[in-house]
Order: sequence, then C-alpha cells, then structure tokens
Amino acid sequence: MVLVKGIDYAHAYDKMPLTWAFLRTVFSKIETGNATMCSLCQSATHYFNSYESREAAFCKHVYNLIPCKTEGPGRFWRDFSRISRRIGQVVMGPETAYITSNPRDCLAFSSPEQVLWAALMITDQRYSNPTAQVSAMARLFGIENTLKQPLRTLSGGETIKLALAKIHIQMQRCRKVVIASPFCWLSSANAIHLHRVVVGCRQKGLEVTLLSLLGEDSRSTLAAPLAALIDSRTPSLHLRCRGVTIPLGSAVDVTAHLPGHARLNDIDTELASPCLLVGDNGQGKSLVAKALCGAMPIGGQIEIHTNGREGRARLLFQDVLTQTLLRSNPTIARSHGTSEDSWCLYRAISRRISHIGREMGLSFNGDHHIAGQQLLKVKIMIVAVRLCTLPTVLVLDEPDWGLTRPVAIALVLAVIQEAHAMGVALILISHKPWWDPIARSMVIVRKRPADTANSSNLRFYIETQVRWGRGHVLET
Amino acid sequence: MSWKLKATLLLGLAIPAFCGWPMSCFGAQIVPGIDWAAVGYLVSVHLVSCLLTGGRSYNRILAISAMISLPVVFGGGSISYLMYLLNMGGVSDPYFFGAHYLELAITMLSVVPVALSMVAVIPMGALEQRLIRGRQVVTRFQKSALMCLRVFNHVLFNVIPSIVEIMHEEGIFHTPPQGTSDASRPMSLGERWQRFHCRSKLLLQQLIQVGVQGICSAIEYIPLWSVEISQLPEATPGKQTSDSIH
Repeated sequence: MVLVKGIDYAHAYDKMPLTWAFLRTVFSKIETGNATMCSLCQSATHYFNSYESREAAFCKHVYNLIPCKTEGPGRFWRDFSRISRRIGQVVMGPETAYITSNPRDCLAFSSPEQVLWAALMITDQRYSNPTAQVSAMARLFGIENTLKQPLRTLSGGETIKLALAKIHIQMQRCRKVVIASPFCWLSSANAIHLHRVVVGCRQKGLEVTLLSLLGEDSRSTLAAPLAALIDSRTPSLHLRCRGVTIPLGSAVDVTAHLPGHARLNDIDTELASPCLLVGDNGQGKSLVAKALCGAMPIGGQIEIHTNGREGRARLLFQDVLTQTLLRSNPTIARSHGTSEDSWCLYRAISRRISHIGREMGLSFNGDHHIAGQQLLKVKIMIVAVRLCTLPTVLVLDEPDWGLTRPVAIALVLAVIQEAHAMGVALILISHKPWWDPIARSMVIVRKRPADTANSSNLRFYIETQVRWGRGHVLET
Repeated sequence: MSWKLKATLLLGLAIPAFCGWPMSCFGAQIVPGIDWAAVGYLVSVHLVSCLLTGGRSYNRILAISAMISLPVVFGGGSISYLMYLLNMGGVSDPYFFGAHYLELAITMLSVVPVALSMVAVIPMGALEQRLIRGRQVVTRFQKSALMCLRVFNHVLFNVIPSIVEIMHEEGIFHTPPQGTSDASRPMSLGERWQRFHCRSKLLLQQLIQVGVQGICSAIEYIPLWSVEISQLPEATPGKQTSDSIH
C-alpha cells in the first residue's frame, strides 16, 4: 500500500521497527481518512470512456458556451458562430459554478487576487474586510504566495487550486458545481482541496458533479506484467545543464512589466530511460521540460546526449490540443516534410497500443484504436512526427491528460517501446504514481523561493535531485 | 515619469500617423516616396520610443517592427516587380511602385513602433486589476473595459506566448525538411529550387496554421467570460458607482 508517492508502508516499517505499532496506528488513520476522501469524491464522479464524451457532457452544464476545437477549424467556426449568436441571450447566472477541463480557461480575470475578488463580488455578500477574505481563502488553498502573479505564470496545479478556491467562495450562492477532470491536475498531496470543496457542497446541499475519465482518479501503480513489457536494455541519457535561467511569463516581452525568471540548478548526470520527472503541483516540472526541449528562450547551456549521440529534445505538451494548432492529423504529419515516415511510425505505435491493449483486456476496433478516441490519435501523431526527427530524448508532459487510465498506459508503454527501438530516450513527467514501476531513473523537481531582495528579478530556484534505479524509494 | 504621461505623449505622437497632419504641410521630397516630414517623423518616433520605454524594451520593439515591416515591403516590392516583368495585372513602371514601397517602409517603421510602445508603456494587466480591486459594484462601462482588457491581455500574455512556445519546439523557422537525398552530395540547381519551393510552401502553411490558431484561441472563451463578467454586480443609477473599500 502506497502512503505517499514512492514511500510504501513496508519500507517505513522496515526502517523504523521501534515505532512500528505507533506508525501502524497513524497510517491506518491516514488510510481511513484517504479512503473516506476518495469514496466521497467517487460518489460525486461520473466516469466517461473518452475525452470527447466527457467534454460534451461538461459543455451541456455550461449551456454549450465552449466551441469544440478537437475537430479542426471548420467545426470550431461553426460552433463559435452558433454560440456568438446566443451571446446576450444565455443567462447562466451565478447559480452554476464550474471548472473547465483546462482550469485556466474558466478564470476570466488576470490574477488570482482578482479572480477571488470577483468571486466575492458575484456572491454579492457584504464582507467587512474583503481583502482579508481573499487572503484567507488563498491560504486555505495554498496559493497565498501567488496572489499577485499573472495567471499565465501559474502552474497547472496552482491554477486548479485557484479554481477550487473560487468555487469555494461561489458556493455561498450557487446551486450546482460542475468540475471537469480535477484528478488529472491535482497531485495526491493536494487532493484535500477537492475534498474540501465536495464536502462543502454536500454540507450546503448543493448538487456537485465531477466529470472524470475512467481510472483517472486511480492511485494504484502499474501492474507488474505490464511494467515487464519495457525492455531492460534501455538508452542511456547524459544530461548537462549549466547556469540555466528560465523566463517566466510572456515570450513577447515588449512590456517590461514581466515577472522575472527562475534558475535551474546545475546538472551533470547519466540517466536511464525512461526517466520519471516527479514533483508536487507547481514545482516547475513543465518549465524544466520546456527548457530542455528549447520551447522557451533560456539562458545558460543545456546539453543532451543519448547513447553518445547529440541532438535536440522534443516535447509532447500537456495541453496537446493547443500544440496541434488546430491541425488535422494529415496536416500534422506534413509539418516536417516527413509525411510518409510519420504515418509509418503512427501505424507502428498504433499496432503496439493494440497489442498492449489486448494484454490489458481492452477491446479495439479494426483501426487499432478505441472508437471515438480522437485525442489519442492526435497524441500518437504528434509523438510520431517528433520521433521521425530522431531526437535524443522525447519528453512526455503528463501524457495521461485527456485519456482513460488503460488507454494512457497503453499509449505510454507503446511510445516507450517504439522510442527505445529507435535509440531515443524518454522522460516522463507525471504526478501520478501509476508510472513508478516502469521508471529506470527518477528526478525529483522542487521549487525553492528566492530571496525577496534580489536585483536580478529572480523569482525562484528549481532544484532537481537525481534518484536511480527501478522502484527506488524516495527519501523524505 | 508616470505611465499616464507616457501614454499621453505617445498618443500625441500617434496623431500624424492617424490623420497625416502636420506632415502634409511639409511636402519637400528627398527622393520620390520619401519626404523630409516622413523622415523627421520616423526619427522622432524612434527617439521618443527609446526615451519612454527604455533601452531593453526599445531593442525588442525595433526588432519586432523590422520583422513585421521588412517582409511586407520587400515581399510586396518583389511580387510587383515579378508581375511587371511578366506583364501581369497591369502593374505600372517600377519607378512609380518603388516610390510607393519606400513610403510604405517609412510608414510601417513609424507606425508599428508607436503601437508597440503604447503596449509597452500602458500597464494593461495592472489596469485590469484596478477595475475590480476595492469595489463591490462596477458600472457597465467598467464591465466593457474589463472584457476588452481581458481579451487583450489573454492574447498578449497567453495566446501568443503559447504559440511561440509551440513554434520554438517545432523549430518552425529553421528545421529543414527531411528528405531522402544524401546530404553530403552537392545539389543541382533543380534540386535546390525544389528544396526552396518545398520549404517556402511548408513555412507558408505553418504560418497560416499559426494565424488560424491565434484567432481561434483569442476568441474561444469570449462567450464564457462575457457571461462570467456580466455576473458582476452592476451599479444602478442613483447608487454609488464604485463602493471603494479602501
């Protein structure tokens, strides 16, 4: 039984035999609490077998005010023109509080402080000291240090915490709460915030609906037979970072009102693939990934060698829909002039998914995909296009986003197999414990605030700590 | 200097760009297409922009202005010249359209920096914050302003940076198309043309996709946000318009 990611009971008992009885009592209490928390959230959850069906269900709750963009610009424009004709007629009112599948999209203001302030205004309650209310709510949801930051600079985890804090305020007046896929953004340490909102809604007698994909809220790790599908001979990745600074905020920096930068500690290490990049919400995992893959104009130097080969690193973004630039799969395949190679790899990964899926007991149709899994097809194509360029390393940032657990597992295992066959190393970013058994190396990412008085506008340090080996237990 | 004063100065500086006055009063030309007034305006725009925004921001403004203006001017000039050579579309003598493109270059290199300086000087994010902070009701005008600023800030700080990240990751401007040809073998003229044609076509397609994505992302959540902003309590006539708490 895993207590905290990477730490299991047996390990804790072995290390501390003298306090065994005491620990058992404490752990059983925590376990009971966790179980209650999970079951409470599960009782409010509706499960769906594809992203598209989950989005369709969510959209109905918000009066179909979100245009579909998974099916290209044609469908988007049709939807948007239909919606825009209804602007002014839809009166959603403050009775519906919601969080979209990408929580940033439901926040119609520019900073956490403003979001919370607006929520207080909408609930129309005359607080004696609203500033104190905003601060208290921010502290309750662990975002007190980010209140003044632009939303753009918040991590996914901080954004969902802010969205939950907003709902917690709106709860005073709303009649129903709808949240799309909260589990894919929150780490286990922050699940308490979701639980707080669900309990609050129940106490007030509000209708609360969590829309989730199948298995998205599962905390169990990958089964041993599946983990064994990864070949033991895996590429070795040499990573060297020196004096890396990562800009925060906008890349279009003409305004000079931007919030500075983060500094990554120097790294010079050998990692086995697949390497798991772990860390709690808001610790800077995605920033590190973007820096490694050249998606951000960084300062300093990053060198990556895989099996002695030097080259670029490529990235599958967490928000893969934005990464598609509304392109269809054939257009994505042509984006690097390697259309035929891309399709060959696409089919190869699909066959592997099909094979792994059969091992897992999933039913696939003739096209090797689960019917209706448009997002899965897009992810496979984006991975295929990147593998075609023969990168040194492929980084998958939260590859489970928008997929059910079985499909996400099949995709990740298939991509690892294909990448390793091509001699490409793989870095997997996730806060879910699912992937622990397949990791051959592990890097922990932690954020450390910088001193407030620094002249270089340095906001925080990102510290990485390398852990080796399969099933390695993390130190606390 | 406060941002309000800077913005006022820039607005004053933008008047000739919008209405042509008082440049139309000074018509003396240096060469066809370039007159003294336009050159004087160009110099003053860059001088004021550098002074108001600071060296670091001005460098970026200059770079972005050049990136926008030069392809338009040189591209337009080249296409017109090609059409003139092929005797297509009734394009006039290069002597006349050359003057037009010179004027266009001067105009763009003046107007674009003014617009970018305004973006750099006016703290849109802070303005958006101030429209709500310390209030319990807002006016209809403030709601409209909030919506405009939200869309503007969303485009500037969210949509464009996300797209730029994607472009960086894809190496959109410097990734050569992968071909089957041997890289060590010298290419014939035909192959070079083929490669140039392929790259240009690919780049054009990618830029179109970036444009479509930019527009769609910019407007995607406007309906949802407009509903959200409309829920803010509105000041009714006769009631205090903004209950300032502080």
